[in-house]
Amino acid sequence: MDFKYTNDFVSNFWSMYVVVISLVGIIGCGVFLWMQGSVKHNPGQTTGHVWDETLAEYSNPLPNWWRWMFYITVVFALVYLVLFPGLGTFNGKLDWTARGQYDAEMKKADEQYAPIFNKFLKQDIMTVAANPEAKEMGQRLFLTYCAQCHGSDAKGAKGFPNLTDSDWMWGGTPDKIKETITKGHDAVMTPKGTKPDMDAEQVKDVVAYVRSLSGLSSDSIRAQRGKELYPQACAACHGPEAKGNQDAGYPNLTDKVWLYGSSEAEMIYGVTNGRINRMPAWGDFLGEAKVHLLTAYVWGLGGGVKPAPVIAPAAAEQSGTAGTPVGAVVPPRQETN
Amino acid sequence: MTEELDASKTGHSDGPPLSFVAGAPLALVETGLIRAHAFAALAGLIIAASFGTVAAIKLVQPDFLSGQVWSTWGSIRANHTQGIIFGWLSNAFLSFLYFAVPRLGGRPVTSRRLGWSLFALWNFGVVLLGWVLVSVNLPNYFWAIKPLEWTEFPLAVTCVTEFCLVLMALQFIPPLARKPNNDGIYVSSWYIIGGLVFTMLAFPVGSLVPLLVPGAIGAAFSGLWIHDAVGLYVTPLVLAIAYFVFPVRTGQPIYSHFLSMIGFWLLFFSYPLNGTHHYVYSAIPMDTQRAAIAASIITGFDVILVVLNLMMSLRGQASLVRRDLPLRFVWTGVVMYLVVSLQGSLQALMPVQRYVHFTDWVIGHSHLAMLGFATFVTLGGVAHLCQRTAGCRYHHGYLNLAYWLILGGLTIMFVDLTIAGLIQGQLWIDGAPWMESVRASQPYWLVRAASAVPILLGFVAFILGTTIRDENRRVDTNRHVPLLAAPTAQASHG
Repeated sequence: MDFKYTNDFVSNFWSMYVVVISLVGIIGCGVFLWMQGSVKHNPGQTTGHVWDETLAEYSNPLPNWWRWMFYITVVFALVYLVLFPGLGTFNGKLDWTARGQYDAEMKKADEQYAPIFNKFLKQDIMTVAANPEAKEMGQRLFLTYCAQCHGSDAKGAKGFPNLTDSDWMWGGTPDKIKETITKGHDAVMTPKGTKPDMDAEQVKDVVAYVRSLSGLSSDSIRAQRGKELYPQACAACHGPEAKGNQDAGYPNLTDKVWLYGSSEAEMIYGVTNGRINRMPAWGDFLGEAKVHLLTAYVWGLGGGVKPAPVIAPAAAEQSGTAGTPVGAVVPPRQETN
Repeated sequence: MTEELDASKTGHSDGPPLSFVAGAPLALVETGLIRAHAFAALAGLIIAASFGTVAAIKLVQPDFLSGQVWSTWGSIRANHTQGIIFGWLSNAFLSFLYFAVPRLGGRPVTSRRLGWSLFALWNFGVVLLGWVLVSVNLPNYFWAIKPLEWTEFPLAVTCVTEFCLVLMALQFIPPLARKPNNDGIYVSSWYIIGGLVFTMLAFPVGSLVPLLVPGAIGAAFSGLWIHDAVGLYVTPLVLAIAYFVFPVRTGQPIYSHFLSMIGFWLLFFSYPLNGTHHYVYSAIPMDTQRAAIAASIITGFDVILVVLNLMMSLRGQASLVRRDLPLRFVWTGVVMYLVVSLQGSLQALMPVQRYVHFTDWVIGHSHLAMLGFATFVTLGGVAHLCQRTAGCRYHHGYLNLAYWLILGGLTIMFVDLTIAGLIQGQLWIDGAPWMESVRASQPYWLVRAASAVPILLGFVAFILGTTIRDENRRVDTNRHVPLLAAPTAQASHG
C-alpha cells in the first residue's frame, strides 16, 4: 500500500485555505458559545416585542446540556483533525485513507476468495462448466456484469446478442469466448457496405436478396437484382456465400438469427446507415479468474462450441469452421436457468 | 378581494399591542392571492403525488403506462419531484407569505400587480410549462429535460424560475426589512428573508453552474442545489410557518428569542455545504466530502436546538395539540423534522453512507423530509390561514381524516423503504448480484406503491376539508384568542 493521500489541489494555497477555514470555523464556534455565557437573560419574560397580537418570544437562555453537547463537538472536531486527514495536506496521525481502507478490504477479500477462484482457474473451461458450484458463481457474475445488456436469461435484446443459441459472432469455442470477454470487440458495418453509391432502390434490392437467403419473405424480382449487387456491396465482409466470418466478427446472413430484428424496415435501415456495436473489454476490470468462470458459464448456456480436437489440426482447417455446433456434440450440461 | 385588517392585529408600534385603536393605519392582506396560491398548491400536490404514484407502480409493473415519452419512468420521476417543490410547496409558501408578511411587517406586500404577475408566471411559466416540456422532452438543449437532480425542468424554465425567485424577494423582503414598525424582526421574518435571499442565490449555483462545469466538479455544484432546495428554501419557509402557527394557536410566546436566533444563524452558517454530502464516496475532492459531512453534523445539532425551542413553546398545551388541527399538523411536522434531520446527519457519516448509498433508504429519508416535515407543516399552515381568511373555513372531520390517512401512509412508506434500503445495502456489500437485490426489493416496492393509496386519499380529504364548510362545529378551537382575525361582516364582502 504505497498510495499516500496528499491532497486534491495543485497549489499549496488551497491547502492553507482549507486549514484556516476549518480551524477558524471550529474555534470560532467554541469562542462564540463561550461568549454567550455572559449574555444577560430574563427567564420567563418576553423580549417586549409583539407581532400580530400574539407573536412574542421569551428571553430564556441556551440550555446548558446543548451548550456542552456543542463544546463536545468542538473538541471532537479538533481530535478528529489530529487523527484523520482533514487539514489540507496533513495526513493525520493514524495515516488513514479511504483508498487505503478500500485496498485493505480488497486484499482481505482476495485472500479469502483466491483459493476458490484459483481452483477453477487451473481447470479446463469445459470441466468448469460441468461443475455446479462454478456454474452458480458464474451466474452471479453474469447477473452482475453481463445481464444489463445480454439480459438476466442471457437471451439478449435488439443489438445485444443472444448467448444461449449456437450462433456466434466471434466464435463459440472456450478460447474465443474468453477472448471476447477479456478484450471486448468493436464491430462496424459501413453504410451501404462496400458500394457507397447505392441508391435507396438498390438498397431495397440487396435487402430482398439477403432476406431470400434465410427464407424470409421477399420480392423475387428485387432479390434477383440484389443478387447482382451483392458481390460488390456485401461479399467483401460477409463472404460470397453470405456465411460471414467469425474471426473478424462478420455475421452469417444465411441463418435465421438477426441481431437487430428481421423486419425489412430494420434491415433497410441497417444497410443504409450502417451499424456500430461494441462489447466492452472486461479483462482488466474482472481479472482472469472471474473471466474464466464467466467463460465457462456462457459456454455452458447451451450454445457452446467444442474446440477442434488438438490431435488433428489439419482436419479442423479443412472443415473451414472453428468448431462444430453443439447440436452435434452433447454439451456438458443442458440445464435451463 | 382585499381584506382590511385591524391595526391591532398587525402589531403596530403605537399603543399597546392588544388595543383596538379605531382609525389606526391599516395593513392590506391580498386575500385573492392567498386563495389563488392555496388552490394552485393543492392542485399541484395532487398532480405531483399522482406522478409519484405512477413512478412507484412502474417499479412493480414495468409495463404500466409504457410506450410513450411522457410516461417513461425518468420523465415521470422528474415531474414528481419538480411538481412537489415548485407546484405544491412553492405555491403553498406564497399563499402563506401573502397571509403572514403583512401581519409580520405591518405593511402590505410590495405590489398587488406584481403578485398576480408572479402567480401567472410561476404557475404557467414554471410549473405547467415545466411539466409539459419534461413530458415531451424536445430535442433541444434549451427545451429538453436537464439531466440534473432536483432541477430537471428544462433550461428555459430554469430562467423563468430564477426570475420569479428574484420577484419573490422583491415582493416580500421590503415589507419585512424596511424599518420594522416595532423595532424588531420576528424569527419567522428572519427565516423568510434568509430563505428568499439564499434561494435566489443557490438556485443558479446548482442548476446553471453544472452546465458550464461538466463532470464530477459540476456534480458537486449540483449537490449545492439538490440539498439547498431542502435546507435553504423549504426548511426556512417551513420553519417560518411553524414559528408563526405555534404562538398564534397557543397564545403563548416562543420559548427563547436567543435560541431562535442561534437556530437561524447556525442553519444558514452550516447548511450551504450540506448538499455535497450526496457525493460522498464519489470522484470529488476528499476535502469537499469531509466539509459536507462536518456541515451535516453541525446541522443536526442546530435542528435539535430549533426543535427544542419550538417544543418548549408548547409547554402545558398538550391537549390543545390533540384538539387543534392546524397545530397538530405543524407539531407532527416538527417532530418529523427532528427525526429526519438526525437521520440525515447520521447518514452523511461515511460508515453509514457506504451502507445506504443508492438504496431505497435514501428514498424513505427524502419522503420523511418532504412529506413528513415540509408537507405536514405546510398543510397545517394552509389550514391555519384558511381559517383566518375571509370566506374560508376548514372542515374539522375531513381534515382529521386527512391527518390520519397521510400519517398512516407515510409511516408505511417510510418503514417499508428503510427496511428495503437495509436489505439492498446488505446484499450489495455481500457482493450479491444486482438482480438478486432487485428480486429482494419487489415485495417492498409493492408495499410502497400501496402506501400511495392512503396518502392520495388523505390529500383528497384535505382538499375537501378546505373547500367544504363545516356549519355544525365551532371552527376556532383556540381558547386564548378566539376573536383574532375572525372576519367581520364588512370584511368578508370581497
